[in-house]
Amino acid sequence: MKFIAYGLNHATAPLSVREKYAVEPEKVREVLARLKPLAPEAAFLSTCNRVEFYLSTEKEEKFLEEIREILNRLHRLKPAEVKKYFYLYEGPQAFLHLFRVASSLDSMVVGEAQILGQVKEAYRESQEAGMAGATLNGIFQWAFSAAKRVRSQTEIARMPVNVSSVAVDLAKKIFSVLSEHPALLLGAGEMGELTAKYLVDGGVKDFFIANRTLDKAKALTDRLGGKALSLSEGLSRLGEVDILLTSLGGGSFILKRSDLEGVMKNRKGRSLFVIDIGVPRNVEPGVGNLESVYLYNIDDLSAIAEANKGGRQRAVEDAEALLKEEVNQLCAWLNERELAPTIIRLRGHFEAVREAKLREFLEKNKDLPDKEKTAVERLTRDLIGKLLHDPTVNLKQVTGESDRFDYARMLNDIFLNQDHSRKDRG
Amino acid sequence: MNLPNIALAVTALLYAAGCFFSFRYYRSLEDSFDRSAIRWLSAAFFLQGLALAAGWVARGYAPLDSLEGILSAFSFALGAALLIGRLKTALPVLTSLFAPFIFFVSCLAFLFGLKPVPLMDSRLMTLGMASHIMLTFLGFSHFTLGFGIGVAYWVQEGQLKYHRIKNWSYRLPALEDLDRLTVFYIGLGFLFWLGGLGLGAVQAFEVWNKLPLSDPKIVGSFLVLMIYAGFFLLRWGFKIHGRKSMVLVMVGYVLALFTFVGVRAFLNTQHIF
Repeated sequence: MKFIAYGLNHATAPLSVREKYAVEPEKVREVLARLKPLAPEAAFLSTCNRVEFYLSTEKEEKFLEEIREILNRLHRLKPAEVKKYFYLYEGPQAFLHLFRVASSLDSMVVGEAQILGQVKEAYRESQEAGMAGATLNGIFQWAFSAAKRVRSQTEIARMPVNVSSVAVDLAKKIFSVLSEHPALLLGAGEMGELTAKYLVDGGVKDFFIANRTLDKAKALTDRLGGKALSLSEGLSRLGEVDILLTSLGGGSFILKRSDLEGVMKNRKGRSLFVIDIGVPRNVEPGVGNLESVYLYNIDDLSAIAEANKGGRQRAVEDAEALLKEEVNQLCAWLNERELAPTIIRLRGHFEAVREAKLREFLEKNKDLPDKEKTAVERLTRDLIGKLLHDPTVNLKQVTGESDRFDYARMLNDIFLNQDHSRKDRG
Repeated sequence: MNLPNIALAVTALLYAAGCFFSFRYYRSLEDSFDRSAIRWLSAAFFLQGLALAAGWVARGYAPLDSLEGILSAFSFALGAALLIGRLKTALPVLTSLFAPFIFFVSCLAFLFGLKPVPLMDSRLMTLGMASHIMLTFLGFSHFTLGFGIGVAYWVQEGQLKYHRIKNWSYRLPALEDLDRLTVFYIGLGFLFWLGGLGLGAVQAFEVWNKLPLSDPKIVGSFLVLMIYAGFFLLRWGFKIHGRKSMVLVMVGYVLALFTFVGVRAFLNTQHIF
């Protein structure tokens, strides 16, 4: 059986192509059902950034043809088009690819947490379709454990690398539970909307959006939730909110230190996190010197994001090394599992020969004292153990799939079919 | 080594295991390490409690009249403060920061266990006096943790305010959590300390028919209570939070530390430690 990873992702196919190949969740079962005759063990992962098949099969070529046909039929595409964007990994390369996907090293945003859940979902679908056998099960469980190691033992998931997620991360370092802290967005621009979305995803519940044009604020609240206000209404609510996000256009500061001094006096020591992503800046820099005010402008956030990128690069290198180690361990485990029947048969054969010869010897030497009989028995047992120890260890270290097969066949021919060969010659 | 020494050594080893896992938690932020750390620290805490109780039963008096007993009781009180804090809020990073300190004190208890110490006036070897000592220990332990969290707040606030984000200290909990937990520890420490002082006064009055009000330890203890009362007044009366209120936590702790360990070294006191 060969383990294969076959598919396309954001690195090999542009969005226009990925859109065509994306398979709706309700059709995943249908795809798996069609693959079952060719690959008894298979999983199918379809997200906005990738469409991938993981399977254990002997009929690789037929399988690939079938996949192309399925996708062509689903999406009415030309076969040549399909081939161009797809990649194929086999054996250890396929394991490494799956591990990198599950650990989000292969993601568009490296370190994002969503992909692990999506891989788990693909595996669950495969289980429910009755297509997750011992091999696939072992490999996927190994992938989940490797992904967990990457998340816990490297800094990969702890370093936000875009301005919006840095802002949310900082908010969580000031306030323990974001849902208890209201937020106000001044402005309805694209960047403000994106950061506000991150804040809402991060847990902010009470949200006000204030803009010079109320209609734009209303349009934004339709998408994000919250309450739309006019700009003056928004500014009058500064005492109520704990997170202030400003993204207004215009040449002068909307918020001056003198404005916020009065506001802070009435806040009774409550912290205020000000995220100024407006260019030019909306908040006078002196505001950051006020007690309990934490002011970050776009450059401050970008500097943290950039510093995190450097740290994340190191984390990626650590994670890659860790995954290679995991793949080696998985290969050793699979080898051991595949060669186990041959090893058991080999040991059984030697043990049978030993027992027969020992019986013969004891028959001929019935007068031998019990102590010596036991010594002979122990000697033969130790001899067999010693003779088989090194070959067993060496066998477990064979890594190549074809090598593994050759070794197993050779052992079978030399030792296990010996009687049969003699008969053939006779 | 006698049995109490063996118990102290085992306790120190258990605290060491707790430290090891809490350090691994700090590096990896993996919950399983925190769970292991808490298990080992709890085991150390209960063994230390058992050893103290066994010493009490064997001698008929709480084993708080020797340096070994005092340090052991102090690390026990620190363990209690840490575990009480964990019941209130699960902030494992703080366990990682405090566990080594508890381990250090428990090691001192083991190392000093072999040295002879001055005996206490036999008239003071009462249950009330033992309770006075334990309550002040608990109070001081809570002040210690409150101080530690106050320092963590100071560091975290400085990072966030002045944009000096460092990876190691960025793992500290949110300012809001640190602030709440500081108030919790100082509040609980205040109550223990107050109770300890009250019981001590009753004991002293029973033995000497007067209160040793000029004793520097007692003066220092009152000052500590006043500083912490000022801390609560600032917070709840004048709504002063953040760095300013943390200054009082630190000043209060420096005085508590001097009262606890410095007074005997530099001034005359009737207290044997």
